[in-house]
Amino acid sequence: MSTLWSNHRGAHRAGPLVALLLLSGALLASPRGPAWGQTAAGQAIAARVSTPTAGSQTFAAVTLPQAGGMENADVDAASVINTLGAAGLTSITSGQVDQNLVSVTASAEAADVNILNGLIAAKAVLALTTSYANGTTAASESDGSTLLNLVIAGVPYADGAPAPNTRVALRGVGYVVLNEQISSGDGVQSAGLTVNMIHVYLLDPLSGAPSGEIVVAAATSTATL
Amino acid sequence: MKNGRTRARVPVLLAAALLSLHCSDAASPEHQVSRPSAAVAAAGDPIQLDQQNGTYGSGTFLIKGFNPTSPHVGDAILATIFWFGAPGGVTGNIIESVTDVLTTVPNTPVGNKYELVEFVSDGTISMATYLATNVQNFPDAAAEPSPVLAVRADLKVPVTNGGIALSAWIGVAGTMSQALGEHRAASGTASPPFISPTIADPGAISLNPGALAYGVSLASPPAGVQGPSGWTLIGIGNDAVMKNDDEYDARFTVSPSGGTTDPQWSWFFTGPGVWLASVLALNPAPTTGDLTVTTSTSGENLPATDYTVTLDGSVSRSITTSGTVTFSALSPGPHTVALSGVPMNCQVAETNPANVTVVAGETANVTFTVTCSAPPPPPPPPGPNDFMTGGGKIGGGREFATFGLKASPDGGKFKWVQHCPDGHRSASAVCARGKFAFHGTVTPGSYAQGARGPNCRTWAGTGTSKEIGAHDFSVQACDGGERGRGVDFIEVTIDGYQNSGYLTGGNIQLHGRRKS
Repeated sequence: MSTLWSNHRGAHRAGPLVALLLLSGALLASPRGPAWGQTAAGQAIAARVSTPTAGSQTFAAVTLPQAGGMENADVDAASVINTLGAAGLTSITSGQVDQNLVSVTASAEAADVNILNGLIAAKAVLALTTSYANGTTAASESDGSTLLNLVIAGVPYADGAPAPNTRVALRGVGYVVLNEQISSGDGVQSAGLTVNMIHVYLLDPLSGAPSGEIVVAAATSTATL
Repeated sequence: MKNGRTRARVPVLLAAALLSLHCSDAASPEHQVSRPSAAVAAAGDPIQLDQQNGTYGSGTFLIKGFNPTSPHVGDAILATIFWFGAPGGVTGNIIESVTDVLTTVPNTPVGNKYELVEFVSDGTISMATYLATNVQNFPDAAAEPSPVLAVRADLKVPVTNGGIALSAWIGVAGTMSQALGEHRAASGTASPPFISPTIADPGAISLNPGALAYGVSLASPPAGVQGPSGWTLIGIGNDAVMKNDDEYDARFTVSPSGGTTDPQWSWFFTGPGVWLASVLALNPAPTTGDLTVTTSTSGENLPATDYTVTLDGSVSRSITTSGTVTFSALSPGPHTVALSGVPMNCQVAETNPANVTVVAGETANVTFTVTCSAPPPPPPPPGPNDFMTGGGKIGGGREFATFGLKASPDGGKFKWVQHCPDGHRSASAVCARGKFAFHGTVTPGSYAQGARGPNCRTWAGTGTSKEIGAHDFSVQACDGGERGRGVDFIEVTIDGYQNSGYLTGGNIQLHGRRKS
């Protein structure tokens, strides 16, 4: 079971526990800043597929170095037969621990997205998260995230960012969560946000058990001061 | 202008498509012609003949109604008045005024303004054409027995032989200055041996796309006539009283693509004669408007570089600090105009961005008044620990850019992705080249204080892109605080490509010094 899957389920069923785990994970996995407790963590993945047939494949993934700075990754095209097609995949993350403020931004984007042989299509997908903490206030936001020309099962959706955690059933396949958002932090010392713009949950048609997932444009930022 | 040319006689052909009616009923003093049905045209529709009529008469005024049906409100009306001889010895224009009335008893004044376009006379015959645009204040397309619209010409001296020809046009621009194009008139004589027709030619005029050319020729004595090739007949008239005096022929053509036209009437005189001819252009109702942006800058420490004017967040143009830029052919309706590139020591007096409404056929104006003052002492140059990180997005909708950056005195990295989901758009300031991803390396030593303020930094470098190749680039980024959206600013130049704006997502962070 993937981390993203766990996060989503956690957001619905065990929010506080998962939030704590997320925060703990961020603290453990993220680079240490110049003082204890100061962290700037960012991660962006343009696309990721995890299915029994395709295995686990990740396209254009970056992680903010411990020392901060800016990292980016590009992939011209992603193709997983019968599962995912996309072009122009780019991920960027930047941030730094400062004496007075920690700021992290992560963005993941893909164009000409085709999921499950056209069941889901989009012209452009962008996940953008920003987190900052200044010692007295910490906040995250996803402004700028967008979906253009999104069509699901033949139904077109308006351009822009759907309401957070918009769930759409996919008959015989599972379901998709649009603009999936998973928050963390206490809003004072720390804040974190993961945005998965398109997160397809594949379910076994007989048992209903999770059988895989497809994520397009996943961005995570976490700031702690 | 006197003009009289002859050319080889050609067969007289009146195309079956002629709109109107050769009405030369000598027994009727008033020629009544049929009217094409015409719906009210929407902006952008071609000019159409709505109604037309004409009559002959005598006395101190000439009047004719658009019976049996009035034109539409908003039409342009052309009234051409003819008279024979020099009544009262007056050889100039004897028309005192042209007005319109409703055919009530007594007549009800309507009040539209008719202005003289062209008067021409050779001393024997005379004609004058008047124009009223966007006619109002009468029942739209009223049919008899309701009162209909009539046009009346009051004369300075009575005439014994006169006439008036009316035509109403749908789709003409609504003001005189917009509607009236080039116009000309000429007169001439027929000379023996009268074997070839005499050419009545007012001269060539230019036509804007979609413009109407209206021409009329008057000859004395009446003679056979062949109108300009390809023009549509509106009316032709003579009367019993004036049977031996004169005859007119009025025609029109509409030019979808514009150009020039030089109408010529072939009058088949059998003896000495005279002719008049005039032609005028009427422009179609505009479908777009213009917007003029004016900047005026005063004070101290005036900016050394131009500002940028951005229309509707997508089209940007450079404008001098005290100058004018015009955006043409804009769709009518609300627009926004933003002025950027104003240094921190200068303030814009007006609301910026400005909201403005563009009206078709008109020029809207936006003025930005900028006052500059002496700037505070420049901040110290960036120290060795000063650096900037950031990432995010500017723009929105279907044209936006995402970026990531780290820049310091020692160098750094810069990533810029211009998104253009609709592909190359030559009219777009940022998507003229289409989508591209650019990865740059900051040149050590180029990192410096930015001109936009103490929390701004600039740097330069070189980079590559699979789509647009290798280029130099420069950046100015400003940390306006948290959240970065709406307060942090970035300005990017990659050779000919420029994009700038406040962040619509993300954050830019200046590190290593306490921000001002």
